[in-house]
Amino acid sequence: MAGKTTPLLILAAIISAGLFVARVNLKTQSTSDSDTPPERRTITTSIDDDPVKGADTAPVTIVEFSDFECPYCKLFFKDTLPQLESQYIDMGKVKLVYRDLPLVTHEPAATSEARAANCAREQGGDEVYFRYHNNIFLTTKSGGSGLTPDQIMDIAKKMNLDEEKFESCYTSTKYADEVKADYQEAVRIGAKSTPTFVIGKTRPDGVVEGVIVEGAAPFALIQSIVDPLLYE
Amino acid sequence: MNKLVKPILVGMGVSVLYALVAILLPKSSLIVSSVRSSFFTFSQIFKIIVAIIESWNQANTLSSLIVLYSGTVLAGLQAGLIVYWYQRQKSVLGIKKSGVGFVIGAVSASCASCGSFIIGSLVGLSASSVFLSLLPYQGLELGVVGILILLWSVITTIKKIRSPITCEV
Repeated sequence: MAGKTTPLLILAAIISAGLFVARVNLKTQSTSDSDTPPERRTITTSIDDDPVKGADTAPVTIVEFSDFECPYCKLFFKDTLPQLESQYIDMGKVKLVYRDLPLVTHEPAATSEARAANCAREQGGDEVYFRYHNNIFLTTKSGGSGLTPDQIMDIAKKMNLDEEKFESCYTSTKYADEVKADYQEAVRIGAKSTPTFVIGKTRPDGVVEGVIVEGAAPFALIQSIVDPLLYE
Repeated sequence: MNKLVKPILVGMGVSVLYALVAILLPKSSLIVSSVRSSFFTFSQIFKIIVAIIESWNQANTLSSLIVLYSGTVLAGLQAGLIVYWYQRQKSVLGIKKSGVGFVIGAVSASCASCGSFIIGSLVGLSASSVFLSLLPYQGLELGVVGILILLWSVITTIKKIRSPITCEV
């Protein structure tokens, strides 16, 4: 009996010791010098010049790297965003920043729709951007099938945008570089799928410092991250 | 009845472990960044992990749920059967085998079945996007293949258990 259980006991002891040492190391790093703030090994990204939903003064920022053709991004839009808006964004506790991360598998539709939303933004700012963003998600079937140019124009028409100005913007490659820059930022922070969120506090220099969440994030999960940040 | 206790316990343990890995691995970036950030206390990190597990159903499609549940059951069943077979082999033939070989056999099947969950973690954004774009169901096929491998493993192990223990002439 002793022969059989000894290896297991040794293994359990090694794992327990490893966990204990790891936890002690993390604690030591945070308390080694009481005058120096603990080193935070966080994910950082910026708001850049991307559209923002919510108050600028909101203490917590959610940066969403998203693809208009991604079904999980649509799931977030349909299921999580309404609750996030009513309980956090509209209360001034959180602001949402939308940045583009068009996946290769959804091109050219994903970038086309991202550019169209930016063209809408030209004519009314962030509020118009997010109305156009909502209309894209409500209209597209997702998965890369995309909206036709007629559907893109129909949304602009429905929103009473200046159609000539919108069409001129959309048919040019005006916001292609902006979309590409967002994509490169997503790669830099290590995003591997859409949607990817960086949830954290915004520093005075405009950098968001926080944690990364990959995949469609149900409201309960977002809440479990946002609440500690709000009351930190 | 005593002989079944260990296989059942091992099977249940492996099922739980399999499900936890499949649910938590896609959110490993969140867990790691939460631990490293010092924004969160230990209990808050624990609550985040609980929220990931509790809300998994909401964040995934029906087909993903079926793959997860099937894999969980089969992985546990396979582990239990292997322990039962090992017990029987050892007691009848007095063979001492390293448990490592059996674990590797079970894990290799299990990892194939969670391939669709880990593919994004193992390769970069562009590579996984290109790879998954070749598949008609965006990676769900990997989960189904894994389930089939597990099922085949379970059937093979059952056959081994049922075959008589004889020495070949």
